[in-house]
Amino acid sequence: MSQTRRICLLLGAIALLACVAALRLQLSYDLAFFLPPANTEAQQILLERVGQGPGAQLTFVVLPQVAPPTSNQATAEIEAASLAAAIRKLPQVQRVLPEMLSLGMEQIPPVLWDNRVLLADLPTNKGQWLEALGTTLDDMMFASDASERAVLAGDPTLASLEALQQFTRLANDQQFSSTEQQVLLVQASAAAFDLDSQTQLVDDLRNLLKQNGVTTAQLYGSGVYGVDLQRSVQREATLYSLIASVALLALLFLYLRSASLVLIAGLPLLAGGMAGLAVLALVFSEVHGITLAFGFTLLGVAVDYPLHLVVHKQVHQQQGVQAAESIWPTLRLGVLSTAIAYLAFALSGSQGLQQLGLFALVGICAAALASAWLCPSDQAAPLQTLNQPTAPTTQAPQQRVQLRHWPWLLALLVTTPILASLPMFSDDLSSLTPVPSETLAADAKLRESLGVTNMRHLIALRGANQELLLQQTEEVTTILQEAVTTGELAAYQSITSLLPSEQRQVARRQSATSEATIDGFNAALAELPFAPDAFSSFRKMLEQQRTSNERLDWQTLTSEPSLHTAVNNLMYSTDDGWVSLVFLAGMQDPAKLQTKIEALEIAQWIDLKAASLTLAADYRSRVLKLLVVAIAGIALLLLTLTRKPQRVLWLLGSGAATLACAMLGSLLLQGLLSLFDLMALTLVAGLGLDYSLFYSKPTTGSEQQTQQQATARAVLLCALSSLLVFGILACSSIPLLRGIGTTVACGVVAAYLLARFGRYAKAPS
Amino acid sequence: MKSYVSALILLCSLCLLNSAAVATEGQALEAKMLLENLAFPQGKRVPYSETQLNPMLKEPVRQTGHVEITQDGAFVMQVATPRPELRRLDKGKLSLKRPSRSALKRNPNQALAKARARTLSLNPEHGGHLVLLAITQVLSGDIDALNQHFVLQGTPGDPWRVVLTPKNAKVKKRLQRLELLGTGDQLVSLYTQRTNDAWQKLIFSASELSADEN
Repeated sequence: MSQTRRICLLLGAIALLACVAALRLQLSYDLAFFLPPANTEAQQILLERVGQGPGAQLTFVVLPQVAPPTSNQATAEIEAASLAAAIRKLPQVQRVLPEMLSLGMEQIPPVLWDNRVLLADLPTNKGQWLEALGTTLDDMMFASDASERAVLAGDPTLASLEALQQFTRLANDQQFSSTEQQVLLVQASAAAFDLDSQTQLVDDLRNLLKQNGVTTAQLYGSGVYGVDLQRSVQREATLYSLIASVALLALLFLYLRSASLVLIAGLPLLAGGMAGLAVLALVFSEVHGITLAFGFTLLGVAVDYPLHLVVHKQVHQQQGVQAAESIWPTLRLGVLSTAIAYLAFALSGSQGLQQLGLFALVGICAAALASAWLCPSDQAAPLQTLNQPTAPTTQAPQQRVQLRHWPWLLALLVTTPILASLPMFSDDLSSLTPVPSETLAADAKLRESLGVTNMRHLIALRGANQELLLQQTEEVTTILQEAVTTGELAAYQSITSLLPSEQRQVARRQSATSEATIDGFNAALAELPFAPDAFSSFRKMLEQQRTSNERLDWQTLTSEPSLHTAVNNLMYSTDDGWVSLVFLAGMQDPAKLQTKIEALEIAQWIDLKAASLTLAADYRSRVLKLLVVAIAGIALLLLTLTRKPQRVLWLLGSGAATLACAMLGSLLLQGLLSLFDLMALTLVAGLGLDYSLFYSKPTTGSEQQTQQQATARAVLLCALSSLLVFGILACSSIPLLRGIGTTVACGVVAAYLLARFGRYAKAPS
Repeated sequence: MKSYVSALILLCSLCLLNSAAVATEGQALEAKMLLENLAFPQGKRVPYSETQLNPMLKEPVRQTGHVEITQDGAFVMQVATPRPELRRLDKGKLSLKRPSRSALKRNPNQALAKARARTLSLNPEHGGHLVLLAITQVLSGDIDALNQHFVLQGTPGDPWRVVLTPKNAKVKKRLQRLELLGTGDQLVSLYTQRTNDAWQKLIFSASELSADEN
């Protein structure tokens, strides 16, 4: 079959795979894809609620303060208040803090207003009513119009507003403005991972700020990072792929001096990418954007396969021989070894890494098959008329390849003690996100200064049915309320503020409509300066409640748009039943409160920080174990196929030294290693093994020198192309891409030098 | 003939309009001068009484305490009766401390100090908030800030009078006017007329003016 025909058929296959991918592929940017599987209850809660807690739905709009921060601050705050009013009108916004003290009826969802008597215990005697109505009198000082007085008249204890305020209360709300900045806290109605809504919100916010002449405002929050990540990954992936592709093509063209050879070198990579995409599209319902960005990165090793074949064929043809088939066993060994390493990721457990592993595994196998298809070992026809400037013209004496062990031993001796003295891995789950660490630090500082609901501790309860779960949650909140009274806890958020158990609802209705309560109310009212008909709407509501059997339930609350997200955050169903979460804010002594809660034996105290650290550490340990198994598998494969222990020892030693150099380079240049760096190191191992396999390939017969020359040229080209691509990636503004680029570039240099100087040609004695 | 009459009417209208504008401008200048002459003592506690009435009340309710403009320019209002409460307005924010009745019964001396402060940013589009902002601006002499939200009209004399009418149409629906009454460089009272027959009067320095004058 002619070369042209083979290229056409391969292009047809690539087009077919591209069609499958285009028709089925659904992209996602949910970072939870890359989170590992949970082993404990705490880790389970962490994974279930990631991106859904009350803190995750917040967007911080940080407005720079006018300089110098003097008397203009009050004006700036007033401007911030009018900006907040404009933000409140955006469709995706649930609320904006700080909020003015307002008793407006429009603030209260009808479902809460209609059932206000069920939300809190009403006073039951005259003394209690005197105190409650005295507070109502004080509140009236701020009620500036009829609408606000209507709220007080219908709900004198403000039970409906109190229930709502549980979800907006902050520990340090006086910190919203300082001499340096003004902060507006925007609570979205959609969850942080609902990227379509978040994109709309972030775009609207930025447009609004621009329209108001605020061009230097900073936005923080999970939703903002998700949107920016999506855009930056798309932008940078496109930009760097383009730059890297152009640079790679230029390098290949300079080296091979033939457009068709460049095409032959590039097509297997394209085939591998399309095959990987098609398989992912068929196996998974959604594929993460990062999988694609990193998948093509990991696939970089596949560009070496056609390069080896093309360069060997070129050199052999120049020498007048056709011995390209002699490199196939070595190439197969390289492909199989890399495939085993990527298989480890495919078995890792996290859906994101599974996708990445599968993509790379399928990709390199397809690329190897495409290379074989384009450069068949039995093909005798010349590829091109070659213009090879450095081609040897005379036959040199025959030489033998000898392997030196001291380079890799020396590299290990130098790097291992340094590595042992440095902390290696980051167990912080935030290291799995490509959000810049400076942004995360600023975010954490903002949350801490504003005292936004503690993102670290929460209480979880599980129950087979809602009623039992709500009753147990009420037991927990009794303890929390005591802690609030004594000042141990600033505030808490619990579903029972909005949805009391049925048992409690019945008791509250009975108590509120009892004669004792109404007599106490009337007696207190007579002693206070209220008009006799001041609370007529309240009386009317009590009258209606006397005969009512209506109950507040989860479905009713979640059907109210303004409450939907809050209620779903606090109570949700899983495969095992219902889960209720209680969020805490402003704790004095978490350990003391934990002891009290755990003594109830119905709830679990969750430390999300500890859970996330153990989750990351467990996961790293699991991936490392899989990689150790993969390395053992590779060693066994090499030993079985080469049957040369000395060569296998050299290969593994050089591989270990390459990894040590890459790790050291990465640690020194970019800090602690994350799970993504493990992937980068796997690629380094694959590339290093590839170079070492070719350099250590025994040569026989009369074309020994030709083979060695071809190997040297091919490996140099492979190393240069990888260095070029990953060097360009190291310039990315996304820390994760930059880290991978740095690690692989360091690894490529180390792998090439160790392979190149780890062998020498020895003249026969 | 008709054209002469029309011209005369037009001329008269223009004169009237002009004189009204001159009068309004003059009154604004008077108001500015009167308020700039105010000498509310900084760092000194001044006793006050506050009376208010609205349709939910059968009779006016009264609070007493003292107010102060602190050295750093904050306005502090400490309610003493009927129930202790502390309000502090600083840079557009209100900090409110209100102990519960049970806390007052348990520890009357410490209840206010121990009460948790609620802090709120005041919104000038809220009638009640605007009154609090206006009090601070009047007492601290920030006339420019006052001018942003109110039309000022001053009538000199003894006592002199300054009327503040909200500029914002939305606020106007809730707050009709603020009326300041003073003598010399002293502010005597601040009367707030809300809509729906609700009013509020703040009297400073144990003035002989009584709440029911209104």
